[in-house]
Amino acid sequence: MSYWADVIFVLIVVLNLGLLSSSRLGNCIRLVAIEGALLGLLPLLLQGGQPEGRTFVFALGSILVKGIILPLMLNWAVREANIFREVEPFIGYTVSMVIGVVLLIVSFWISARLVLPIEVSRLAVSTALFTILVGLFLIVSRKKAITQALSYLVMENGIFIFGTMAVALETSFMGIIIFHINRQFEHIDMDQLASLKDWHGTRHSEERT
Amino acid sequence: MILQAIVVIPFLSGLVTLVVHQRNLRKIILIFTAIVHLGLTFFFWFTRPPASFHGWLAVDALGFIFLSITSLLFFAAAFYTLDYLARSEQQGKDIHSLSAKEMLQPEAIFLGCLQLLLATMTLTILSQHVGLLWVAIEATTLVSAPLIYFHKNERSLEATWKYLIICSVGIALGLLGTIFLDIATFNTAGQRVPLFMRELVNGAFFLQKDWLKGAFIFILVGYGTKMGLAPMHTWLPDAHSEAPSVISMLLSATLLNCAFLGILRIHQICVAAGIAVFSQQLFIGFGILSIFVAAVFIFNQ
Repeated sequence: MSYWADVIFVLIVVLNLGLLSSSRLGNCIRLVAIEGALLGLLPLLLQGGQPEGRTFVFALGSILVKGIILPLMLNWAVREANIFREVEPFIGYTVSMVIGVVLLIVSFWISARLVLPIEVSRLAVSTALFTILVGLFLIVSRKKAITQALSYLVMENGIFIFGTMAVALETSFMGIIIFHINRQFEHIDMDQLASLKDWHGTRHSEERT
Repeated sequence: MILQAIVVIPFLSGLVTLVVHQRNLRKIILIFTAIVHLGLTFFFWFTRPPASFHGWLAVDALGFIFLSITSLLFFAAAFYTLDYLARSEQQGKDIHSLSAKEMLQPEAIFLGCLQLLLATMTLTILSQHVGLLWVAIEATTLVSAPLIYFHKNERSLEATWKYLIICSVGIALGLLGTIFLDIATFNTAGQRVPLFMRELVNGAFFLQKDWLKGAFIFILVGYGTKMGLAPMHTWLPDAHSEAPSVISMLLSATLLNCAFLGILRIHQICVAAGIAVFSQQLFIGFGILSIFVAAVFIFNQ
């Protein structure tokens, strides 16, 4: 059983690296959906012996929510907002990839110091940390509101590995908000949402010139 | 029983407000809820109710202070809200000449979410289980987002999005901290400390110190985001300036307190576990940084 859990952890690391380098929104959503479905299997694999009925319900529920419902909602938001275009990140894909590898090393380094008091796969902590860090990095480095919601989902997947208890309530809420943002702004670009910035440095310099 | 009532009454009245069509009835419900909530809190001043719901809900000394503040301020806010809505309706009529139906729908959501916010904040204050505490803080974020988006313009939308994405990340980190705390309760003897405040404080000595420290850091940063501590405060000026004034008041005076209460609860455990110096230093560090950032930004305004 532990062998298959390790296989899933490795696949999740690969999926995260794929997310860092993929530019198409549809592709990103698909990767997150696969990741969510794989995570749903973890409770079954990590529990030793015959899984209880409760574990089955939990696993099925998380596969349904993380692997099917939330990706469908995000797809809906993409269609409504009409942005199939490639995302334009603050940090390019090649650099993102390099940063991803650095994050992977960092999370393995940290996990060597954090000893879990329970008997689970050694890859669990490092994969969880890596997924959280990738999610956080994607939130700050991508511009589109929808990619930020997607990144939040990735981060939550990482926490899911730690706790297997996270419910992705917020993401469904964000789907609705994104739709509203699109209605107001015509195109979803968080960079454009700058009228409330604290620091008006650039605007001041324009005024001066 | 009475403890359940103080959470359930605002929750139900909030739900009813969302579907009620008569404007005056909605206002009566709001005032009724505020009076009942204040009355129950006042009642607690004289007789401390026993813990209910198998110990999940209780009023302890710390929660009691926060509950009194929340209840009193909500009472004042309820009356101000009536006046505020009447005035904003007048302005709306002057500027947009909207039909009556268009005016009413946001008002129902506003008043409904206001009471749901009271219910979730009360749940945050009363909950004695760190998992339930997290759920309640998460719920306050969800029900307060529509309140900030009341004006439905570009600026309030931007503020709402910032509030949602930044607080969501913060609360996700808070969840990670809560899970770390759960891991800390495993000990070598194979016994586990339940995640209730009383048991955690009493059995703090048996917690794994490294994981407890990790839990404190993540909860401080996570709930600190919601509380508006310095490096994570960026959503706060926007949400406060764009929300209706009454919401701005409720956010500052009650909602941020609830996040602070979450941090204080973990601090209680750290003190009991004998790592008070560690948590106190982090408190001082974030506190000084917050004051420094505030001082610098005054000049920038």
